[in-house]
Amino acid sequence: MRGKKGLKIFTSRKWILILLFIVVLVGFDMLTTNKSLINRGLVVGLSIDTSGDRIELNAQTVLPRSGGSSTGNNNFMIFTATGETMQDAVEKLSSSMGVKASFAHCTIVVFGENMIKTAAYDNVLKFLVRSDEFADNTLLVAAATGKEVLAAKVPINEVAAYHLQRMMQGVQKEAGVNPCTLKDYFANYYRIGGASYMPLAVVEQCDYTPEGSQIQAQEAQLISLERSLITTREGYAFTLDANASEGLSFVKNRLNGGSVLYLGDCSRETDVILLESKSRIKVDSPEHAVIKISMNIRRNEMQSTNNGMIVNALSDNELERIRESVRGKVLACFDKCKDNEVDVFHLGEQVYRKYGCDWLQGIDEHYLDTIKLDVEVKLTVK
Amino acid sequence: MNARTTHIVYPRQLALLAFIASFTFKVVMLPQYLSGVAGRQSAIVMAYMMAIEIGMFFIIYGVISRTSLLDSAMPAPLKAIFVALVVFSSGIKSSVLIAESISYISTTLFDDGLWRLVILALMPTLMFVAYKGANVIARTAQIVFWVIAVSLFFNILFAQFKGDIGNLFPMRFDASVMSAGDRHMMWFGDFTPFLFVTVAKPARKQRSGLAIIIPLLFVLAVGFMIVFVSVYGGGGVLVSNAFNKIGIFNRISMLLGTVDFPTVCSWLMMAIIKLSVILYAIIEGITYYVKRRGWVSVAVGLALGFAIFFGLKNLDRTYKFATSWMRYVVGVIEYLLPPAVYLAVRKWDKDAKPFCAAAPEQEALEEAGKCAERKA
Repeated sequence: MRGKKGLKIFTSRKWILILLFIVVLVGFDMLTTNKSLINRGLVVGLSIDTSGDRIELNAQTVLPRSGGSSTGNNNFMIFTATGETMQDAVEKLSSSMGVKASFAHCTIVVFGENMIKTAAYDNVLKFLVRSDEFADNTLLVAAATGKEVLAAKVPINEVAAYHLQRMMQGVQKEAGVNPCTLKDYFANYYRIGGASYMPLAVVEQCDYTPEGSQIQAQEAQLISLERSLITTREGYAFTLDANASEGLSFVKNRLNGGSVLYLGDCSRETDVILLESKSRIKVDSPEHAVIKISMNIRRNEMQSTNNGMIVNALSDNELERIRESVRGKVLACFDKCKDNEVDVFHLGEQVYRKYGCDWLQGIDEHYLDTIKLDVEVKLTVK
Repeated sequence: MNARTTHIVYPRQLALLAFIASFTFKVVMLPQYLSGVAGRQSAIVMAYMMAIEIGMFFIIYGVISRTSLLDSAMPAPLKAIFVALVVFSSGIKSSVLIAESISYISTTLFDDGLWRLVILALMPTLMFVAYKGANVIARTAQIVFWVIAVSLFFNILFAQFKGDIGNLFPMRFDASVMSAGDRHMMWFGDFTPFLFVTVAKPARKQRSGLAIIIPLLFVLAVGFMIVFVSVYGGGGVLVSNAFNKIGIFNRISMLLGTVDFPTVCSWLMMAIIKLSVILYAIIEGITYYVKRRGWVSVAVGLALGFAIFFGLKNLDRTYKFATSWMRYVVGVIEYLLPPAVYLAVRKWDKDAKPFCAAAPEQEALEEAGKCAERKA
């Protein structure tokens, strides 16, 4: 009697509803592949090159063993796939890996220089920003191929993608390095002129001495980021030399590292340490803009004595030469960009923000020729 | 006295419901859509449309602080027309917004885009919560509010704002603002379903929170758009699922990956409450004619499920539908119906008094011989 009563409870509407929920949710869970780590290959760095007319992807992937160390216990491998489109190449990459390629941990994307010169480049970048799989990756361009950068045998047997991640974290606020993430790229892309920039990764040979018993020097490679590549909406524009790259970094970034070379009072080349630098662009009229750079610097010389007094100050002449040095770098960058009709400082954008559509309607692609640029450098010696 | 209590909410609950109902779907796909039409002026579009929406809220509040549309003493034919219009607009809006939720869930939580299975999980949940009534939805909103609030608070607290506020300039109220507002009116006018609830007078006096929540809603919705434009500039047109992309936890993706569970989950809770409010309006409205609430709920769930299953198969199709001529039909209902109901209630419900929570509770307590200690 009691048992019957107990069973009757389960025929009530409430229990039927609960059972229905359980069936739906269990069925749902069984049928759905969720984002499981077991079925994924964790891509830590991605290079994008061309292979004939196709897009070639190289994914530096972690093959986990035990532990979570980046170098200690895990194996790393570069998987390659080509495809007609970016989506096609990503699908093929998963096929070649045997598991789903996961880009959630990827923070570095390296483009081959040739890829940036193709028409596919624009679609590739738009794929990266649209995709829900990609984070706000840092973009680099390789002087040769992206694969060469990822495959670089960097010291301490480190994985190139991790090495680059660490490098970018360390030097992204140093004078001369011009980091660019996907968000930055597209913010620049939609500005007037659409010019953007990214560090040019150059692989260089070096020697290193490993730890332990193997004391013989071995061959290794280093990655240099001291030059920058300028892009437009069409892709590749030109490269900047180290001096002009430094000028670009003074204008576009807030810096907290690096040094400034100048000619000292004793007519020899010397430097000051850059502690902090920020800049802003002021537009006085549609034909005139001023870049105002404000810098905190520290002297990088031993104290000297003059008539028994310790001298630890920069002379007015030296301060002026430091200003000239920075001004020269900025103008070197501006002149190069002006010659190529690329508005990398986004002066047009600044004028547009102030003068609006009236100005925009009256310009053509040579608008940079009409804007005169001055550079003001304010120094504070710490 | 009306025996139904499923439509009764307290002022504090109404404030939370208003926040969730309005905010939820303005931070997912809408920023991208507005960017596509208005570009730098997207924040102005949001401010403009939100100002109208909040104006609508106060008109609706003027109605439901007296009575609900269903309890109104207005002539039956007029009431029947009003109810039918709310049901129609809610039906159209729900199909668009459910499709958007399913896309958000399937792209942020799952690999293979098994969106049809998401419908299977989502629809019974929504229908059940909606079937239980507005008071249950409001109570659920109160329970999950702190999870949502903490998530939003930490998003703001730890935000590493790397944007350029200059992306908002030159600011101008031009044709693109009106065009973007016109094209996306399906994402605004979110308070119409509230016509089917009524605000109870609490047993003890309480602060409703409306004076804080409503300005906060405006600030957060417009602020989100300002941040979005500042961060992405003109590139916003390429950025879908904005709430997830702006989420703070994405910034440490080297450690956690891009799956941002706190942001996804808090939004999911808001979405369930918001969609339940719309479905509640549909069920409540049809029940006005058919009187079989249980069967109506099942039928509405099946109809909407099938419509999304076979009709609105992807976001592109949903967007096309939401921005077609249908937006004008929904827009007219969303924006003109509340003032019309307000005028009708002013005429026929002059003597209506708000539901007082103290009275029945007091009677019940006296009958039970208990003390009159009570809480609102």
